[in-house]
Amino acid sequence: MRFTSTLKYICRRLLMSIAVLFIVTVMIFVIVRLSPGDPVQSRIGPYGDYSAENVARIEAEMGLDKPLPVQYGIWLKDCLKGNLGVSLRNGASVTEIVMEKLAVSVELIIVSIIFAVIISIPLGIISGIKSGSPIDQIASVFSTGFLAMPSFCTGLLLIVVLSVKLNILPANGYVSFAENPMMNIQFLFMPALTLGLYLIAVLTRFVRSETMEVATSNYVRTARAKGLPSSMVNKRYILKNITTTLVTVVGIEFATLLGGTVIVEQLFGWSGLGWYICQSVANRDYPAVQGSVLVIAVAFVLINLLMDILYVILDPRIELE
Amino acid sequence: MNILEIKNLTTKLSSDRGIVTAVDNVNLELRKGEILGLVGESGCGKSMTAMSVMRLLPKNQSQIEGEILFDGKDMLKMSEKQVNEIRGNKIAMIFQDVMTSLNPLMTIGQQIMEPMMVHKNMGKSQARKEAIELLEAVGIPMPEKRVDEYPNSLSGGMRQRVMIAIALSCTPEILIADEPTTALDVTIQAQILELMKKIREKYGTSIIMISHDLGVISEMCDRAAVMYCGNIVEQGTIDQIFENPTHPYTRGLLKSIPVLDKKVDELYSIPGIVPPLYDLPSGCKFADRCLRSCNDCTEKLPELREIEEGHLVRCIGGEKVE
Repeated sequence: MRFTSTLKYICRRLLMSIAVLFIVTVMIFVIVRLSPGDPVQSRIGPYGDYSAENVARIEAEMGLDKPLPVQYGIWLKDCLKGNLGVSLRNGASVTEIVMEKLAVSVELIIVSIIFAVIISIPLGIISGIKSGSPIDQIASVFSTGFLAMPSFCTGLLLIVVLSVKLNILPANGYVSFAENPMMNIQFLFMPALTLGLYLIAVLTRFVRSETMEVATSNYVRTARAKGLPSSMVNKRYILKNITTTLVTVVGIEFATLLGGTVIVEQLFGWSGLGWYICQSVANRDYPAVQGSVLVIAVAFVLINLLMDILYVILDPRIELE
Repeated sequence: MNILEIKNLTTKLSSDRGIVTAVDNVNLELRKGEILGLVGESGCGKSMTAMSVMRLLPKNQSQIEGEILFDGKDMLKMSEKQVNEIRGNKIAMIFQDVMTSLNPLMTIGQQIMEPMMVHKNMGKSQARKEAIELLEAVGIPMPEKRVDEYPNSLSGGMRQRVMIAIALSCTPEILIADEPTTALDVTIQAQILELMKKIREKYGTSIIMISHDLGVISEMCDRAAVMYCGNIVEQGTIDQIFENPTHPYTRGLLKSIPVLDKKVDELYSIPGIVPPLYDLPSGCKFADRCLRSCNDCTEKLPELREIEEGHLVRCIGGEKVE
């Protein structure tokens, strides 16, 4: 019974996600049209042919002569087919570039999240159970520090120490994993550490406060009254009960970082999606901006959907009706 | 024969107002197969006594002195590991807050199986079989189906039955029940109390019954101790306490029970309020509220005196005063 109602729930959430995405596409389309700058101008360039026929020809070529709703319709249809248009800058397929850049960003984000989760869960739980202990106080100082420090600061510090002083890692650049795994990891290390330290700070604080709440709960008292060894209490009672909320926080951080790693990507020359959007906005590359933002929005909605589904699987208390 | 002996138990807790004495020099013994009641208002130390026995108080916020002898061994001197071998195995406890005392993310079956698998080294399938039998024994219908359900699909009364099933899983020698029926409907209360009586008959379990409800105590217990501000003020058999209450506090409590065939406009209540633990009067802690206190009362805390065989009272007046 729970299984069928879970399926129904997932279907309903999917329909809702589609509605959300529709609204998102309208907003992206409108905002890009409203932003200052002229794509025709950027296509022709400063010394090109600005005769009326040429401008009209290029407008027609780019589909800009049609009314806005028609333009939107054409764009949406193409998007559904997986065609995000061609970059105004170099005529390459936006879909291809965005997917490639997305993979680059996702590599960085996943590595930093895994790094952060591995460290912050045990650290947060220990701090929460033994609040006020030396470990808790040290963890607290560090997490407040890394939360307060902007990522370009952490990043620059790492560059100064690891590249400039010790000369053990390259300061910036990107090589794909397929091309050269060793180089990829070398380039990845510092940006991942920069994001990771910030994530550790966020997650440790979160896990700590959740642990403190769960550790004083009545069901943990029951577990101790049952004479279970503390390792079992920590795993089955405390960790299990903070997991559902932890999944949400990690999911939101992941989605936020998809477009939010601009500074770190810029700093380390890690050519991911955030970096690409910055470039495209500067170039008034409409299709590229639209395409990237749309991909991020879709990813955001999908991650949320995934989290909602995970929630239902992890927590039997969630009402499905 | 005494199965549990509590000697000079004093439990101090750190609070915002400094260190308070929640349990003050309590001496109690639990005999094999008996139901012992602990009565008193909220904050009188009855739950804290139980939590001290189970060693469930947070170490950094509590300080426990005295001796808790189980099987002749002092539980307060044991390591955490040794205590874990007793908790849930030889001494089990059930709680008042039925809605929040079960792990919401584990099935009922898993939660009942845990103590058996930990303490009795039982295999999974065997433990599951036992869990279903236990559910049946505590009166849960369709145990084969319920065993795989999560606590959120059960009512309060059912959850308390599950708690009892968990407590009984290793057939403990002692069951400590901390206000087991307070959060339940009156009809369900009676069923749970009935169940606990059956358990005593069937397994010979000794029970410590903590309650503020004198009705529950008189119905269930063989002996009872009345607590006030961390002290035992009167202790004796149920007959002694209810037929011949001697401490003014016990008398006050009994007087404030409504009687069905006597119509009264206003229910009796003891004058004054319970003093806060951080600001206890010297001498007898009840003196301020007592109708017959004298100067001697406020000078020094009276000792427990035996006024008849097994009937102890902490009052210098002592005799029957009308």
